[in-house]
Amino acid sequence: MAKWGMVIDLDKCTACQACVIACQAENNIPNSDPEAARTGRNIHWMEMLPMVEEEYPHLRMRLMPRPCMHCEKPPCIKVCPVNATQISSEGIVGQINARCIGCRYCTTACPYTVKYFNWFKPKWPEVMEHQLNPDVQVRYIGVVEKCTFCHHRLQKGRDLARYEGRELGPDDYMPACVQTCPADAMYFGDLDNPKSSVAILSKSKRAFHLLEDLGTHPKVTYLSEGV
Amino acid sequence: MKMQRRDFIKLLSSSTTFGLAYGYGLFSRLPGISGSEALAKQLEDVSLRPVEEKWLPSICRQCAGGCGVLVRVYGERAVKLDGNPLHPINGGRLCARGQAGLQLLYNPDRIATPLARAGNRGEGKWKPVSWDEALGTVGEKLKALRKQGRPHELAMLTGAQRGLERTVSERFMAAYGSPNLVRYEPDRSLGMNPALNLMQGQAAGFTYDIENAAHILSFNSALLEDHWSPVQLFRAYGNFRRGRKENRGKLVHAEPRLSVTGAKADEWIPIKPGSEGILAMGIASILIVEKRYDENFVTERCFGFDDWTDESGTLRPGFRTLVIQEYPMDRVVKLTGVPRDIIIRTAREFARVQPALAIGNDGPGVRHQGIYNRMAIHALNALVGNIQKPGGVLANARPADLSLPPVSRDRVADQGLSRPRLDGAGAERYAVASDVPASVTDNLLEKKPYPIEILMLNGANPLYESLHFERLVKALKQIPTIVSFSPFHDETTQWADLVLPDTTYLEKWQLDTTYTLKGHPVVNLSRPVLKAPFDGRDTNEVLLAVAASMGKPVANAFPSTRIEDLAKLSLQPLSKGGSGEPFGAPMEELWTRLLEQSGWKVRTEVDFEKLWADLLERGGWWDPVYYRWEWRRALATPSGRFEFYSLGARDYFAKLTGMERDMALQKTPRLVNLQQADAACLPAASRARAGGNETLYALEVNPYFIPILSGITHTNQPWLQDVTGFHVYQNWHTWVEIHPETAHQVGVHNGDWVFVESPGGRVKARVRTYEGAMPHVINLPVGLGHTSGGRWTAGIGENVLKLLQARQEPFTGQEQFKPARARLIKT
Repeated sequence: MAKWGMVIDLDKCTACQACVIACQAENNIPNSDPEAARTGRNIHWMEMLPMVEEEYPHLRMRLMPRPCMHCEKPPCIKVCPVNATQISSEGIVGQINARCIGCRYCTTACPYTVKYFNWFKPKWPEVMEHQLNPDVQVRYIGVVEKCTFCHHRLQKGRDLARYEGRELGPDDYMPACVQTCPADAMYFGDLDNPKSSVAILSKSKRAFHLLEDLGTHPKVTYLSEGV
Repeated sequence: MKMQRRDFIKLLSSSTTFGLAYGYGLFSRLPGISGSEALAKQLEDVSLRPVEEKWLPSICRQCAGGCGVLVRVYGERAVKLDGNPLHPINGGRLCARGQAGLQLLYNPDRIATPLARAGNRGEGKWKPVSWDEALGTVGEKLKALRKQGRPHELAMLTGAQRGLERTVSERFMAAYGSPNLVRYEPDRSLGMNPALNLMQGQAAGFTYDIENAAHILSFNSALLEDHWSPVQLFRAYGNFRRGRKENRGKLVHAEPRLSVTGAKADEWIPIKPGSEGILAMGIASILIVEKRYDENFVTERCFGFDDWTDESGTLRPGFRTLVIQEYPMDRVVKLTGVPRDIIIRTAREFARVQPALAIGNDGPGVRHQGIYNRMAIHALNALVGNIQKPGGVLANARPADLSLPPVSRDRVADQGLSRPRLDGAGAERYAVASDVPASVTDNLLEKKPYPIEILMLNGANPLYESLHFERLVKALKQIPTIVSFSPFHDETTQWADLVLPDTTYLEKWQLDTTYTLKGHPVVNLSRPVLKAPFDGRDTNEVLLAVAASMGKPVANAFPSTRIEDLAKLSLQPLSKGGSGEPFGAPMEELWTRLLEQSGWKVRTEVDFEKLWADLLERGGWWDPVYYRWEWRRALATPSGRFEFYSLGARDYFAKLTGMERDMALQKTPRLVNLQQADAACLPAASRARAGGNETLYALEVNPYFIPILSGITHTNQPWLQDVTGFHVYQNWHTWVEIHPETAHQVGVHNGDWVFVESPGGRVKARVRTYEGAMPHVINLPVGLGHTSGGRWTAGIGENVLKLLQARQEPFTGQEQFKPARARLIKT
């Protein structure tokens, strides 16, 4: 059984936000507007996090693309009263919209704030509905949504592999953000396969995880800048 | 590089496959779950009938970068854009703007039908008209004007057009008989070219081989934010950092604020706004004094480094004299605000780690680095001999000539074309400039050299970009007929009489030559992928139709009335068997290179129809072979060398007479010791003084372009608007970044709304204290503040250009921003 994970090399990343927009396009995320943005109710499964350290003129700013960490021990699933958020046998933390009762316990429990509540009825101007991805369900008001590692692509990849009568290969499945990354800074694959690039890179001496001391065991690894 | 799985899947699916809809959880199909019409519609769609799904190649034209895209077409609609894996520019990748392309295609604020003005000019009242009626009106007006023998009174302002689009506009105007085809926005791919042309001669353009550089010294280059071709730059950057086994590339960045490029750099050098050229001269002086420059290259390939005698026997100062006499270290330290030890360390490192590149502002998003400052920065590349080397400055290879046979013109056209241009380009002061948008406003207003009767807006939106908003409005009011081709209600379109909405890039033909960052020419071919539900028409086809309706001789401008045929005609030379080939997998490329370089490549003529089919399927053509040793191409100057003292500039000034010469010289920087005539030909870096009273306006303004909107004409795209100021958590309004200490001094707090007032104007902005701002310098984002153009852009933020004033550059006549001072007033 595969264990899907991601590695983001911050040394190569240019903070161009291609991953942010690719995610919006792939996953039918509702459009933001000034009101939603002001109240912090806009939705970004993938977001660019700025962190400023030290003081002028010797300060450093670290810009980190932040998807869901798909923790091995996700705090969000423990608090869900209706089992709407679960971790799959392949390590993907998913959200089942139809079960979600909108209690927002999980949005509070998640230390990475990657769970988003739909405060508004998602609406697109009629002509914009043309661009909705047929592979991904649009959500409705009152449910929580989150990054799925583009799980629908896994289903498609698996179907293609089955159709062609072979095993699922290492490049059969790739989330939209990884596919578009212009600087080639994102890697995706099976952490349990010792030969995969993610397994090798996540053991690099530059590797670190966000808030690892919380014991969440994130499956998204960052590689720090510098030599 | 092996072909990746994802590339393979895409290739597979470019031939038609049948896809089923996936991803719907079992529960979502149960009845009774309501909440969204979109969901309901989607569910209707999900019936298990097979839907035809294709990936069709096209070209992304959100910016000038020229990336290849594959459009996922699901049934009748486009649902996703991704990079074309075969394309040499982006290799299957796409940036944020490219990903957002569908928000342009399916934008609810696109103009749906041709419109005629119903109210007063600028009132925004329209009535829809049919295409036949609209085209009839335009045709008649044009015919009448031509009949009166005044074809030159037609003017067309274009955006940064290139390729076939450009050809159509040029041929239309030539056959009609008007010289007034003015490119209002500079072609972004030109980058630093105007400066480089003075030192290296006119070439097909220059590029920086970032991927192979070991060290990059960036002078406020906005490399990662405002580059003309972002995706290939990002790809090169990734390889520059980690693509080589050892030898990770190092980036040092000098800029007044900690930008994305600054944050990603290994070292950020805060520097006073507009003083980058002076810092470059400071570094040059260390290289020269400590003899750390490449003596071999400077003596073999350069001109004007040492003092030299001209034809009359007069001693002329060289680069060394300029640097030593004009830029003593104390002055550099004072003007740039950079400590002496940092300058020395930076210079030594620049000389030691080779190949090292010095890069100035490459994108004209915020134009402030004048031609002389850019020359000063580029001089560093020659000092370390990093020209035509791997990891150096490369001159683009010349592409195949794709021009159509010349237009046959009648007497009326010839007479019209012999008139001087509206913008004065090509004559006297602007002898070397092709377009001078900066003089359009004044000349329209003063009706110089003649009044304009019909103005066509083809991709240009001068009212947003102009720094003289009110004067331009006045000038527009004087023009009897204005026709806009904009697909959106942008600012200038509000003043039009007739709007003929254009289509967006996925709906039309285009053929366009561009370059990779290693100097290879690339010819992009794109065809209409699908049609959005708007009654727009490709402007090029409209021009063809108008020309045809006018009968001969204007109709003769185009050998065909179909744009597709023009593309085919232009591409004919490619089948004649020169170098180059349609895009292919990386393996094919290596093979071609090997064959060509060892002299084994047989150049045979190929069947054109086969080539055409190949080009359509793969997205274009390129020449993967580049010869670095072609010095005559790289140094096409009068002396045949790299010119520290530009003889081209000297010739240009020598040709001017009396007043014109004085006026041109006045725009060149003033030096202390050297004569003006010499300063005008040397990389005389200078820092313009900010206008405004220093006690009243205590803060310096540093405008910068919002990275996510760079290069985009129509910003009505909510995905992009939502992430404009991610580094300071701001979006959907204009903000002002200020150092916390300075904020305390002027008495403002984080989150306050203030007016930023300069002698030129005022804008409303939200205060954001930011450690990455220099004390006493405020940073403001450019790119917001449209007054019309759609629901996600009109009224969002303010146009920061209002604060700035312009000065005109000699040679190019481009408008450049003068540094400004400002103060904050609490609202």
